[in-house]
Formats: sequence, structure tokens, C-alpha cells
Amino acid sequence: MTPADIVRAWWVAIDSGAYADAASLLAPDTPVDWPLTGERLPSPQTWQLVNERYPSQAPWRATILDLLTDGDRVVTFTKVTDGHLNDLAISHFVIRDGLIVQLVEFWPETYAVPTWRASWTEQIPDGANPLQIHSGNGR
Amino acid sequence: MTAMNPEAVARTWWSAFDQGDYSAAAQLLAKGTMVDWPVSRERMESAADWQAIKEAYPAAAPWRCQIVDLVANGPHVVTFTQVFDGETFDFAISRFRIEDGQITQLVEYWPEPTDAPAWRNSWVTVLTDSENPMIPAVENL
Repeated sequence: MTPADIVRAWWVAIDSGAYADAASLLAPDTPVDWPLTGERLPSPQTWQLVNERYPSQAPWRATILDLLTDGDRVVTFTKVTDGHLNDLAISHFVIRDGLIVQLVEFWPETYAVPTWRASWTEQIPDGANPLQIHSGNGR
Repeated sequence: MTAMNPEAVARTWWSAFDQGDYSAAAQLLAKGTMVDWPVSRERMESAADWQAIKEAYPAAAPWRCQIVDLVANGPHVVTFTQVFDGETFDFAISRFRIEDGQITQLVEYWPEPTDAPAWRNSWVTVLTDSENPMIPAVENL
């Protein structure tokens, strides 16, 4: 499987709630890092546990919006929703020998527009914003 | 003269930014290119608006920019960049589309750190500064 195939398999497993399958794509002892909260999930087992315990409203659905591959590195922008929360994951993978050997994920939270620059900006239409995919049923 | 390749354009964008040369950066945006910042839901409809914001930005000191990683494929480039004004650590994830040496699409995520949720704190460890790609190495400050 190519690096892109591995990454697609990762998101398909999450989309179907098969966290054990996803975890098996991480090379042994590979941590998953979430820099925005300063967290490291130290092993595939921990990643699986946290996802199984995640207090979501319903099973997560994951849809890749964009995937970019460059050698053994893959970046995805993925819409992740439980029907209530609409999150965007920006994930940076390094793949070696068919397994994920590095994974750093950014899960940005929206914040208010600083007023000082309001005269130079417009609001992105909801349909055009990767963070506002489901404005009708979302946050 | 052949146009710069997409990776070179993205690197030139950040090096212009690093030097405070916003006019040079703005010239890399093709006419009609909008810049989107989805995290704050902002859209700049022109290169002139982008430049005006950068020049008016209440930064503590001129920004220094350091690309942490660049992923390129065809016209698409994604950069992960540390941006530091001497007081505040910012981090940009920028998705470029570059054609004929010009940026024809730019979507930038400027995420802010948030507190780690308490429910999972028994399973996670805390990233050290050197493990966190958002924090510049001490020698780069």
C-alpha cells in the first residue's frame, strides 16, 4: 500500500469506529501528538483507549476533504463530526514500511475575529469554510 | 524566464514575511486571489487587504518565521510555520495552490492553544517544548 493508501485506511477505520484497526496502522510505540493541547498519546494502545472513551454524542464520521502526499509524508484535512460537533483535523503523517511512524494532529477551535481588522475582511461563507461544514446542525 | 516552482514560491512567501516585506509577499498572490483564515472565519478579498492587515498588525516586534515542514505535490503546497514576534508564539498551517509562479489559492489556519480536557489526562503525557512543533527551538529565538 502507498503512504496515501495507509492514510485513507486510517480514516476509513475511524469513520467506521474500528479504532483497533486504526491503531494497528501505527508502528509499535508510535506516539500521537496533539500540539494545540500540548498532549502526547504515548502509544497506539493509548490512542485507541482515548478514542473509545471520547465523550461524543454519536459515532464519529470522518471525511477527508484534502490529502497531499510528498514521499513518505502525507497531510490530510479531515472533517470529523458526531452529528453535534463539527471538527477539522489537520494531520501530518510519516509512513514507513506500510505503517505510520509519526503522527502530529492539529484540531483547531474557532475563535472570534479581532475587531481591529474587521474593515479589511469579510466573513467566509459557511459553505466555503472547512470548519463550518454543517452549519445547520453544528455548533 | 521560467516561473518559480510551487515549493520555491511558498518559501519565498515566508522569507518575505520573515523580512517584513509584505509588499513582496503580496506580489506573489495572483490577481483576484483571496486569503481565507477559517479558524476566525475571515476572508481577505485581495492582496491589498492582506498587506494592510499585516502592516497594521499589533505585533510586539517584527515577526520571524521558520518553516517547520513543507509538503508539496504538483501545484499544492502545505507549510507548517512558526511565527514569533518576540512575545507571542504563533503557528500557521498554510495550504497554497500555486500556478505559473503565482499563488492562486491560500487557506491559512492560525490555531490557538487550548487547555487539555481533564477526562483524558490520566492517559496522556505533556509535550515538552522541544517535542512541540509550535514552539521554536531556543537557538531560533
